[in-house]
Amino acid sequence: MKESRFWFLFLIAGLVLFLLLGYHIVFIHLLGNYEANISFQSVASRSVSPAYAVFYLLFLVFALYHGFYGLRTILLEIEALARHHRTVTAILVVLGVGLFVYGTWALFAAMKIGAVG
Amino acid sequence: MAKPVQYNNRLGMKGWWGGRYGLERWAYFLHRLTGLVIVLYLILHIFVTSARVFGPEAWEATMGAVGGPVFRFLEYLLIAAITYHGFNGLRLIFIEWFGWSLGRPRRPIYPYVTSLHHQRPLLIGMMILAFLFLVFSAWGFLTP
Amino acid sequence: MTGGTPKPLVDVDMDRVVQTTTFRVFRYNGTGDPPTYKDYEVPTKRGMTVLDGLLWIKENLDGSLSYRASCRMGVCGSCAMMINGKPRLACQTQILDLQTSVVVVEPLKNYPVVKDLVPALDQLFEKHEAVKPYVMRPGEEDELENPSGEFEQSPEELDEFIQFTYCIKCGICLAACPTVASDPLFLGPQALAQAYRYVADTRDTAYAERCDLVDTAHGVWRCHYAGACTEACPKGVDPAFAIQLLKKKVFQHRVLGKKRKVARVAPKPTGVSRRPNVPEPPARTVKSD
Ligand code: HEM
Ligand code: FES
Repeated sequence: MKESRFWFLFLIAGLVLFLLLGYHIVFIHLLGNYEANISFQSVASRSVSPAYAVFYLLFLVFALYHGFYGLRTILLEIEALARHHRTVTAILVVLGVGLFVYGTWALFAAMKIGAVG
Repeated sequence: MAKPVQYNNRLGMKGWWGGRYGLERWAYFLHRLTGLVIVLYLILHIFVTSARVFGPEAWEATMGAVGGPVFRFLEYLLIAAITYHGFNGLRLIFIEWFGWSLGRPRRPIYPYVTSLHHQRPLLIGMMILAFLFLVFSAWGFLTP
Repeated sequence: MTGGTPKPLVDVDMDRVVQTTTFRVFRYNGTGDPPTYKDYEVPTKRGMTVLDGLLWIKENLDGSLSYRASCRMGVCGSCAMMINGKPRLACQTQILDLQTSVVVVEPLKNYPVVKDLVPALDQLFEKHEAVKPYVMRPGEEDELENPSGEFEQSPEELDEFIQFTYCIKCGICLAACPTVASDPLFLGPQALAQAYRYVADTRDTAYAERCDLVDTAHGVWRCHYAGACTEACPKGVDPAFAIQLLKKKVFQHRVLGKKRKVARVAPKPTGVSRRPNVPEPPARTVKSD
């Protein structure tokens, strides 16, 4: 695939993140009572909701793609790495996919424990 | 006669620094810096927030480790970084993807008016929005 | 009112030395010894450029100083160098405009140095060549070799790219670009601006090939609109602008599949004859092989 496709996806992800991240920051970090927002009770009760899971799954995908493509841009522009762009890309793909799998697992596992909490 | 040897004058990563150039070049440097900080944070964030899976004790312990006024302040700095990156990123999407706010090609007649001049109000507007959002979030931070 | 000749409002004596300027010049002997800086005191008059200062040093203080210059009027692009930390044309930069008594003069950044202020510009020309800076009409090579008429292009179509044809290949933009600073494979502002110049030229039909040329991991996407090239360009070419327009064109081509207008060969006028006093064009001087 041509570089342009990856780059457009990267910008689209940036655009989507602007909305998702705005929502996430305003409602978790700023509004309401922060201590209460991040108490286990509150976290667990949010974790059971499928809408919550979908939101954070989307967030995870877009943030990881955008972040890791951006990281690749930076790394490819370093003289020592510029000539190894396949290796750099491969390592970042493995790391990114690994984080995605771990995050997804955590989201679904949390749905179960949420019911307990 | 000595063999000619060329001197390597490439700036390398030092060249990312804004130096004596204008606003946009500093915006680029900050965008890169904040982008890097946010990715590192994202990775950390994924691990920290997964602690819930291991039960209330693990969650409280993790939250305890990253709690307190110091971490709260760092969190604010992070929000500042994300805010800057987000609003400046919006400007970059307008410019790099849609070619907006750059004016039209023109014959270069001195004094030159370039695309930099055309998009500067957008840059300043975005920075004002980012600033307002940061004031709002400071208020959100101070009122628990 | 007292008598005598009134003092002129503006002191226009161009021959008066108004300041002694220290030129702190980067010296490199071309054999691998570490570079040094050497100071020269230059009596400075109004209107004197940095290039005039260097010429004065070479004539009066140190004949071993090397630099490149030719036209002395901002046209040839030979005299690009770092002046007080920014890449500029030495012949277009007046010493007094810098408003310092110390002027630091160094060779253009991001190019290997041959000697003193002389950079090796190979990468500039290689990258320029890599984007094929000439009109191409795939499948119509014969028309280019033996033209049957001119390509029809409106003034509005010309306005889309004429700004970017003013490039004098001085290499200043590559010294200003942060990506070029660390990535030797990046095509750089000069070549990318020229790529756009041909992508936007309706006489050129190699649109798809040109999009492919710049759509790589070290191509057009490694520009982040830091704008330093545009700020530094002594000719108002605005390479950063051209690169953003190029990104848009690649998007239109790849994603939207949009076709660009193509200039046709102007049809021969009919029903008219050549006036007898208009001479025939001279015979071809370039042989096609
Ligand atoms: C808030 C919404 C966001 C928007 C609108 C946004 C927009 C952008 C844009 C347009 C670029 C490209 C800059 C360029 O190449 O010229 C970029 C680069 C980057 N972004 Fe984001 N971004 C956002 C959030 C994030 C997040 C959450 C992360 C981290 C996970 C991130 C990490 C990066 C990195 C590492 C780069 C590369 C920086 C560079 O090449 O200098 N961004 N962003
Ligand atoms: S000497 Fe020709 S551009 Fe300066």
